[in-house]
Amino acid sequence: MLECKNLNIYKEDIILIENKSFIIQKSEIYTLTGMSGAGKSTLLKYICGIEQKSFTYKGEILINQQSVNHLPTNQRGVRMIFQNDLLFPHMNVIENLLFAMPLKEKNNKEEALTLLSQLQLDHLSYKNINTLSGGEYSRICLVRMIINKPNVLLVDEPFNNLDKKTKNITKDFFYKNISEMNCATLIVSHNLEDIYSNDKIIKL
Amino acid sequence: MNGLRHLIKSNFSYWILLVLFGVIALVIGNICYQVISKLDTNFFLIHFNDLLTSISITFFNNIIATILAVIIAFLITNYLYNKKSFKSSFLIILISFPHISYCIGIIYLFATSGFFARLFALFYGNDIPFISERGDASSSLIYIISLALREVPFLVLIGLSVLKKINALQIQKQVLVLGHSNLSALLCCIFPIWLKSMTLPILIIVTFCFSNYEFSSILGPQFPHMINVKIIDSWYSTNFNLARQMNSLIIITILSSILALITLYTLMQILIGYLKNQKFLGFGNYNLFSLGKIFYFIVIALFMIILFVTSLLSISESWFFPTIMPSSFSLRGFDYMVSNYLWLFFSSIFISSIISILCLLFVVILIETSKDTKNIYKFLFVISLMILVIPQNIMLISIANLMEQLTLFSVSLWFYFSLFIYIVPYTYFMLKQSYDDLNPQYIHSSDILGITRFKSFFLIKLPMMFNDFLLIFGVSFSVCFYQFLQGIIVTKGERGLFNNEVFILFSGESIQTASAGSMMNFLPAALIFMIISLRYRYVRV
Repeated sequence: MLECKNLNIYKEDIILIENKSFIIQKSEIYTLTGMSGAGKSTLLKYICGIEQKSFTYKGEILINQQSVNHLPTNQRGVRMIFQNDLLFPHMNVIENLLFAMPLKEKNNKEEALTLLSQLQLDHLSYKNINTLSGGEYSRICLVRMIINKPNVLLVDEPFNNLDKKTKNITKDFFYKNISEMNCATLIVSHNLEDIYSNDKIIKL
Repeated sequence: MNGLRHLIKSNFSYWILLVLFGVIALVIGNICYQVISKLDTNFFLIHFNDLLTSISITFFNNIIATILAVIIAFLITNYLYNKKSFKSSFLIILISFPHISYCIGIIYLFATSGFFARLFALFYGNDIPFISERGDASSSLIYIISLALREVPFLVLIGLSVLKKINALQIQKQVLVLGHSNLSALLCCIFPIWLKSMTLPILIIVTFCFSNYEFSSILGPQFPHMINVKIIDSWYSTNFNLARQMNSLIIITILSSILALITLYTLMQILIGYLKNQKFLGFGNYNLFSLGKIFYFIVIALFMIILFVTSLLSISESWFFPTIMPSSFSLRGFDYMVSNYLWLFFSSIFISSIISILCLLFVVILIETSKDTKNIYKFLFVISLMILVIPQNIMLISIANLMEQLTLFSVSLWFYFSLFIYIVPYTYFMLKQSYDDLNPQYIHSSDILGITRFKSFFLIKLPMMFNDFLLIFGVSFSVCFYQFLQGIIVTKGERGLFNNEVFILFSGESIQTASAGSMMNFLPAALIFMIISLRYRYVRV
């Protein structure tokens, strides 16, 4: 469960987010919307623990009812997909996926291949990252985060760079998998089509 | 005829580069021909067995020094990259430190009556640990550590730009949001990517290790000598057998450096393969900063202590063991240097300045007059690689042989040429970086406005890149001023730079005079870099 209490974010003297509070329970998917420059990505980064120097932050973040403000990013239990997510260039596709798995287990590789095949990307398993197209790249970033099995997931504009058909396949894959994981999810999106549920929208 | 004229005019840069490529290919071809045609296999095998200890010392010392330099350089790079207030101009001053002065300084520190022995005696009395010079582990250790630390500033300077290029901060964030530790980010992702991008600089370091004379002769094991020293001994020898031995030594050096390159490359691949499959989950947020900080201060302290001790020695009249400070001072060493070597000092500065400026102009003209700069870059890259990959002592021996065969040109011309070709790679690599950093939008805008290329260079590029040009000149100047083997191999001591004279002073004259020479040797590049860093601070383009 993700809970944000009285969040305030300032850039110099300008207030970006004022007194914002919300709770996202397990297996709930919320969409964060707002104008460009409203602070959507900044908010996600703050929840994740990646604070930017030019911003001032106030407020409390709770994961599973425990305050995580003092914890570093990797110990918060929050995972995030950036708008410009990076795959590691010294690893091929499957190695990138295996690196994201929290524990070394025997069936890790099979699981990774299964997820890739769900998005019809299994032919890319052993491909070099530099040979992928923009759409393939961003879909593999999604698979990498799904395979990580997060409890709280923050996603910044996940379906950009995709054509309509691929977008629909990817959206089905994404929502199906995060529902199965019982994960609290917050998605930033400009596009009304990407909103998962109309009653679960946070506006900035 | 008109067609040929047009072809030459339209492909001016290609023709010039083709000529340079041809000359370097001729130099490499000449040494290959000499070695293959004159090699007596039985003689080679006999020498190979005799030289086995020297070969193994040379091989292992250089490999270990390179590995150590790479590890320390990464730790320091990682520390400096995350330190926001850091300015890289300080590293450039360390790079400009002359090899000869550095080696002499190390000797002053570690000699039996050296600075460290004096410090040791201050606390523990006169029972000072003895450093053997017989080729065993202790003498090799000084060589390995000194050589590694000398190469660190060069690797750090390039390593920093590599970390910026690969966007190390973003990689770190990415690893952290996957739930891995900082150590995982550093060792599993940033280090392997950095190492892969550093292949060329590491290659340059390896070939330098196998061709340097200063380190091997001053700091390396003495009984037996390392192969690099034996090559110069054979080159100078009038003994027929020793002179014949040179062909064997050249082949051994080439084979050893190729083997070292293959070994290091294989080790790099194994390490990258191993690290990318690891997960350092239980290491909290340890980021190796403190280790990088310690090494950074060790490197700076070493250079500063060397400078301090050498400057003290240059003005000390009497400095008896075990006192920490000299008892009396005089400027006799500097007096001697000024009255005997001032002309050589200034002529070396003049030659280095002219060659650096010519080299800068040469590369700029090639880039600016070409319609297809991408191909010019490729061509220059191949030429630079040819120059840097062949060990310098072997390349220069070939130039000297060519000089004897082609008596058309004077020794001085060959000397200048041999200096020039070793400045080209550094000028090219830095200039390319500078051109890459220039926002292409400015040039597109000037093209759209119909401004000629000539005008666009002088009115747009030159003012914007002026600080870079100054820095490139500074680095080229120091590289040229500290070239050493040309004076030994190409001219056989007939002509040389001030650097060569400092080395001779070290082995012949009083310690005070040699130290004064060593201090003077440091001055020109230090002064140039100080002026450049002041300009960087106060004049922003």
